[in-house]
Amino acid sequence: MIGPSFEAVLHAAAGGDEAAFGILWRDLQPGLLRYLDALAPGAGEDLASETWLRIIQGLDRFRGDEHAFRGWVFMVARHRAVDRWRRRGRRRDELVPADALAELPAPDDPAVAAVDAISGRAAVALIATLPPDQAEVVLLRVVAGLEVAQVAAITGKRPGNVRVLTHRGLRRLAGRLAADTRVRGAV
Amino acid sequence: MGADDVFPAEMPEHGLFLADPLDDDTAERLVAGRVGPDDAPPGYARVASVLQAAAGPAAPEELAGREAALAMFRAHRPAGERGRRGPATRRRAGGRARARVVALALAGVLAAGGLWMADGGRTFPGLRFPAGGAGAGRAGPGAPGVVTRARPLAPPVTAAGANARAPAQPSARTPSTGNDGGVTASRAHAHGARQHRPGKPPKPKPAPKPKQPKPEKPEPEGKATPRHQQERSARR
Repeated sequence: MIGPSFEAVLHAAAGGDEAAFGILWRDLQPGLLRYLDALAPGAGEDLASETWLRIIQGLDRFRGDEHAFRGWVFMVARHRAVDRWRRRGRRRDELVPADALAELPAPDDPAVAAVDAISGRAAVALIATLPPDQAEVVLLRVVAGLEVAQVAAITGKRPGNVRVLTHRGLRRLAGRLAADTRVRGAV
Repeated sequence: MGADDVFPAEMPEHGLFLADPLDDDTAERLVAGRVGPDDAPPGYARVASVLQAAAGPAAPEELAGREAALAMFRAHRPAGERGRRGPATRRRAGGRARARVVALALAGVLAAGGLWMADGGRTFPGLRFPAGGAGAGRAGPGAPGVVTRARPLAPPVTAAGANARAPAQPSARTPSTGNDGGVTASRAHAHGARQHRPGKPPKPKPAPKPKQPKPEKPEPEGKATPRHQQERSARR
């Protein structure tokens, strides 16, 4: 999050200031990539570029605070991903990434206590193994930092449904990690 | 048979490895990254690690596309002053739009006025025709005098033409004589006569022509002057 200076940064970027746009990009690009990589593995970079192009083109018409801006960016990103699914004639649940568990440390691994033991993208890949609805809701809340209402608006669900999906996703994730622990312990 | 008796990867996920449900507040703190592995509820320590990592700082490779993004911004960025429209800019834009509308309206008024003046004030539709012409009381595209300005004045021409074809009733020509000049002018306008006499002061109309030897069908405008000369010579 950029914080109190967001409005000035956005104003400058909308006026064509390259450095200001660089600040916006630096703040949002990592989360954008992680989110898009989870929705369309291997196409995150391309979709992020398409997203930024739309953002640049609409920058001078945007009105709102930083939260609204983040919501707008991720909504544009989701539209790009949905367009890609349609172009490919695929459903998003065919795009479940694999090997997400490989990077996770075992519970007896000393690195497990360190937060940065797992890379951001590996963690996102693990979340993406959840059922698609749960994965997307958790990612939008965790990676994009959006509120329940924003996630509901982006995904077309009710806020209550978003909360339920979040709970289920976290619970299922905990179960998977526990299962992985048992697998590693067995091996 | 318990869960520990089978190979875990073959176990269905439902039921066997699901952790305890979370309360709303804990779930919110987890997704917000405010719960670390040590503070997490039982069974959620690794979930907390994963969530914090997912929201963690950017890796270098995630920022590798910065130059490309800036290049795209340079190519498509909002156009400086026109870009961000603050209140002042919006006011200026609104003023420009209003000025544009006023200019257009003024141009329209001037064009209509010029048209009216060029016609000598005769053929302005709304002013001329309702006075009792054939098209009085009618309006719209199909109404006389709207599609063609000369049409509402056509009935006298038609009558004249009819009379011309019926030379046995010359007196019927008389009521329409007062309109002949107008008919001629209107007819001339209907054929675009103004293009042939730009800036030319209107000719003084000849005195009412009591008799017109050959009131014929409307002629091409180019023949109007010779016909007047013919009339004059005929009167002499």
